[in-house]
Amino acid sequence: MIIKKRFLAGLLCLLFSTHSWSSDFLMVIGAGGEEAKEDTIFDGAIKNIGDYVKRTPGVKVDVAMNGGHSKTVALINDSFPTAASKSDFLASDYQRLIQSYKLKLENNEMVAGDQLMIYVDSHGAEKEKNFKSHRIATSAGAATNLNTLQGASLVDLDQLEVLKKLAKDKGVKMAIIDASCHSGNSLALADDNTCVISGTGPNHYGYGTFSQNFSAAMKKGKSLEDIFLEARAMDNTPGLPMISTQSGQAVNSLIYDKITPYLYHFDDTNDKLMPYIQENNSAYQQCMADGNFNSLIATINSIEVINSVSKKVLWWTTKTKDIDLTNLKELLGKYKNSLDLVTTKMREIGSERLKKEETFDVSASVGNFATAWKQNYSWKDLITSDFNKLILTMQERINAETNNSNRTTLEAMKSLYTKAQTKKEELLRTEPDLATIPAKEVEVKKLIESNYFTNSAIATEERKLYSALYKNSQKTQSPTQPNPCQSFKL
Amino acid sequence: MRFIISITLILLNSPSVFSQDWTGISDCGTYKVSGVARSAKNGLVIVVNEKSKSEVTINVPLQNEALLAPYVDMALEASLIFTKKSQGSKVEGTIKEIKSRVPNPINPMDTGIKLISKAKCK
Repeated sequence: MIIKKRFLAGLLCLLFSTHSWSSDFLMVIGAGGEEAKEDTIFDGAIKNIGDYVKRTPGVKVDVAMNGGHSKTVALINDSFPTAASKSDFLASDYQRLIQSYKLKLENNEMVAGDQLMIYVDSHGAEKEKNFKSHRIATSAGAATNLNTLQGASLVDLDQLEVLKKLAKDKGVKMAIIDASCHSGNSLALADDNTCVISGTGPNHYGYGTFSQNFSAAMKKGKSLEDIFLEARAMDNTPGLPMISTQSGQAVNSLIYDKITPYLYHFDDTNDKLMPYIQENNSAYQQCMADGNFNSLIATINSIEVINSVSKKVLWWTTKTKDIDLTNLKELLGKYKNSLDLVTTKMREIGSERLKKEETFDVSASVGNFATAWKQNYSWKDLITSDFNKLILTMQERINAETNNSNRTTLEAMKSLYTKAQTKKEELLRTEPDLATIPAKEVEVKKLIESNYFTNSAIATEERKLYSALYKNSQKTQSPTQPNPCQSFKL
Repeated sequence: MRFIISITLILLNSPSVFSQDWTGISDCGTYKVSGVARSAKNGLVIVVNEKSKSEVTINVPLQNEALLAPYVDMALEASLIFTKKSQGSKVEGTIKEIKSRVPNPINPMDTGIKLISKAKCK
């Protein structure tokens, strides 16, 4: 009899539990800003998200991704056969989807208990002043600079705020997974109803592996917080995946700024390390960096102590570390010494002076033809260029040129090179050491012991630190505080 | 064994095995170009894959040469716009962005032309 009652109660609970009647909505957007080729760097995550949708019946999905990459297009078609809509990811597609979900929320097609996940996997730009979060690349254009996304057409994620507010009013749980570069900026969109997870920190590049790990770990019944922690622990790329939970925010404020430079590496094309060193090479900033480093080491030491177990054997006590972060401390120390050396050398040679720019008014007229424009040269350009040789070559071309229009431009360029040479001579007279800086800079760059692999090693160890700090923080969080990342279950 | 070694040596000495065959600008749009700036008879040019079978010379508009001037005889990376399709080893593009490049000493063939985004030809 008791068993029968329990069975009926269980059945009723199952029938009336909110989740069993609620609907899950998924908006997948991105894969923009890629250069012209058959595939994109987002393909791994696209396949994984598609696999999740296939094995989870009932998920209503809209896909706006890519545009123009044939293999990726085929992959999207294969991965999302049941999608309600599939399109390129142009600014108009983004607006259309936001409008469509806005209407669903307003018209009660999405109701309390439903869940909306917006999965963003694209190239992401650094934060700009006018935005709360940041902008991401659409499929129009290709990014040639991974910091500014110059060359790509962008849309801002602040526009998701309208859905966030409506979802909260309607009791619809919401999540934004932003796997793009600089996605830590999207944590600004989180509130007590919206969980935000980012593939990296606000000032770091993101790497495809976090998104791939995260999407591969997406299984029905799991909470977003659990998926995040699982995916983060597996990732060894030099980004810093983040989550908007109280514990996540607590850990971010404890370590993010301090560990930031140690996850930067020197890169010829998209470098974050050299600009960081150049912006932080004053004696005061060096002092701040020392303070931050010591504070980081103190944090690591304290988490090791918290997780140590004391054992009394006969008359002495031994301490065993449950979490051993010795390797992390060694890697950070070694890397810091290398960065300090470079910073000191950069300060000594005063290389920031080479960034100064001079503007030259260029003009010339020959017969009825006239031309005028402004040309900027940095001090480095002026110091390293052989303008006298350029002037000679230009004179030979002027002598050989019969077309007056072309002669005008050539005369203007000769006058530009002459002015530039005069400025160069003036600079070398007033600051004679400038001439030696470019060669010294090359030597200094050789001192940087950092590369992607150094950062990956630090990142691998950082995962252990983050997990320990996160678990420790969870113990101190109030269970009554809403945690949308835990209550959002797939 | 000797036969295998000779075949390997022949293959290694043949530049065509390693150099990408250049067919010209078949799509208009933005290209990422890694090469070196040189002062040629008719002005400053960008040379890609210099001294190889796939050497390409890119001429730039006259006024654009002012951007190229600080990079003469230096390795550079530039974003160029090509508005016309063209065949052969001499092409013309407009510089959108340019910066110096650190050449890879163990891979002197780290230069090249890569299509970034397509655009309509003019």
